[in-house]
Amino acid sequence: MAAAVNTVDYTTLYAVLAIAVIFGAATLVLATRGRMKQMNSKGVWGILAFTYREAIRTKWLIIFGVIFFLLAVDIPDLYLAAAQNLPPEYLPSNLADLISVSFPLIPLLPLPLGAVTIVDERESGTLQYLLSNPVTKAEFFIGRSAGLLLATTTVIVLGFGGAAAVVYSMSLAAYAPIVLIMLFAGLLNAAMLGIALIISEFSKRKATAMGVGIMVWFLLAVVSSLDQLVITVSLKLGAIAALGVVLFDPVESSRLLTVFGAGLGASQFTNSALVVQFVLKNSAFDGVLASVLTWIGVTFFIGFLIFRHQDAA
Amino acid sequence: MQQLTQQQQVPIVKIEKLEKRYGKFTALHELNLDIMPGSHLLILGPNGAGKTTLIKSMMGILNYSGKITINGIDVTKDPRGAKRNIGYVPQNYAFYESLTIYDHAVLTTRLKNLGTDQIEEKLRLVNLWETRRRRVRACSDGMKQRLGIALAMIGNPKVLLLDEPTSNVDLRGQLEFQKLLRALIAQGKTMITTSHLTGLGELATEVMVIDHGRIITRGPPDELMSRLSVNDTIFIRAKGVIAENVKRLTQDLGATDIEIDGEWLRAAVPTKMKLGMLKGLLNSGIAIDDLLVERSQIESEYVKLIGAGAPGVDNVPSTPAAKRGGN
Repeated sequence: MAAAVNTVDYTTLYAVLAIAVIFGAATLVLATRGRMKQMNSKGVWGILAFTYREAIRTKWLIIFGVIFFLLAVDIPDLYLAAAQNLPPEYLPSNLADLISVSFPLIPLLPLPLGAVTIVDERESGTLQYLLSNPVTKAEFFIGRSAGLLLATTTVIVLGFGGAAAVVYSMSLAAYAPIVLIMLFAGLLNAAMLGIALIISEFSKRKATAMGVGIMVWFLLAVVSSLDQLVITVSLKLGAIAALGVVLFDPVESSRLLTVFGAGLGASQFTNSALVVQFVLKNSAFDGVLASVLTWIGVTFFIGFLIFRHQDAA
Repeated sequence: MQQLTQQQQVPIVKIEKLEKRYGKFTALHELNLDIMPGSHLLILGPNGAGKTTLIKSMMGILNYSGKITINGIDVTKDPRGAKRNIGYVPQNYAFYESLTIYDHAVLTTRLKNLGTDQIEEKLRLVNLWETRRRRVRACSDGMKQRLGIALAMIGNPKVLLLDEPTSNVDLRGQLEFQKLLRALIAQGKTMITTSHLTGLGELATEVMVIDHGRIITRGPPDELMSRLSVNDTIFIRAKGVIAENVKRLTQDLGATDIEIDGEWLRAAVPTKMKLGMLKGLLNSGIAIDDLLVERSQIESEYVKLIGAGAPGVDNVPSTPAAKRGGN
């Protein structure tokens, strides 16, 4: 095990991080063909604002906002907080629970919403209407992705933020980990949205896209919970294999990113957290961050390439 | 004046070797087409002929091989620039049901990178200003059609692409549309309209018949009609013995398919012989109660062209554009 740890070159992790950034930049450059100045920014803004407005109104998102709020509030603890009888280790324990419970649910927010977005426009013919205006496919893709990202992130922020305002109002310092949780949840949300857009591009029917989106969520949720079991088995193969299992799972990577980033104590670590920290030591946070950013960069990049080469109608 | 003439001779739409494939199926076969500024091209053809594919390719909505330029701008290289010159009215008016007419106009101005100052003018043009707060889900097909035209007109594009513009509207809507079309033609707009069967032939300066992704023929409507030996229909009202006399006379004057239905006699007359026949009838001294002439329309005749022009036999005639060296 120790030998395996020594083989890890930490510079590769930074290289992965750099690749994620390059992917993002390349997507933007490719999308605009290097002509940012000529970009129809008003058109992009129009699509973004319209997408945001339509998405935020969907019942699906409103329900999710409420669910996140209830998960974050943790009603039994609310009674204890009201009675000023919270245990000393209350916050880290509560946050660890919150992360474990809510993170596998986060993909359920962008996956169905994003999976239907392009196929629905194509099916109804509105994609034709939008693209018949002086807007390029790249500008549409940017506007639509940003609008959906903003809408889903708003739900996460309102859900968690609202709960924080209720539960943690006794201490301003307590807001810091909640803000980090929102930030990292937003990154997971972005990675899932990238996957959802690819599903939407390949789907012929809206109903199929929705079904595939929910199926992907189910797989990710199951994979995420199976991680612990797989890691136990993988440890016999070596720590690097176990690390691979964790980093290949965006939900688990994001969860660990939050655990490390929010500074939760080692007592809150799961098997996967222990494996990542054991292998990557001080670079554990960077490692999972690189994994999540790579997921975001790669999915959006592939999504854009597919969309660019597809017929819009 | 000379400059204007030179400008008019440069095609505003130029299509070179346009080919569109869907897997193994070829929807458009190396199409070449020049459209001059200010002209109104009516594209006729049966369902699946490639009309909509052609229009969508011009809009850059579909990927294709070949080259399409709009006002000198390559659609593939600069889709944004090319689309600034085009207004597109799609076959099925696809709008966001939850948005109002005005919301759509605002969204369109944003997409076209324009201010909202044109909205009132365009919505008034199509009589939608008073109902601008109505949601699209509550609009009739005719209103949606007019909204489509208003949105296409925002930004005053040089070319209007109208894909089956009257396919979803009732007779009243079609008549209103024709009125609007006349106004746009009077403004000097270049228009390309696709249709499988409408009453737009009279408004076209040029007609192109397309089938199986190939141009079967193209030219001014009158030229095509005369080339097709099209027959007009003449209706004559006469009673009893007189009707029999009229029948014999029209037969002698070259009419065919003569039928008597009650007081009315119906006969097919070649367009070129129509005037001669009328003169003959008047000079004969037979007492005719009434007379009607129904001019044959290109839309009802294009089927003959499709039957005659088998794929691969591209009998594209000389067109005004070709005569000017444009095609």
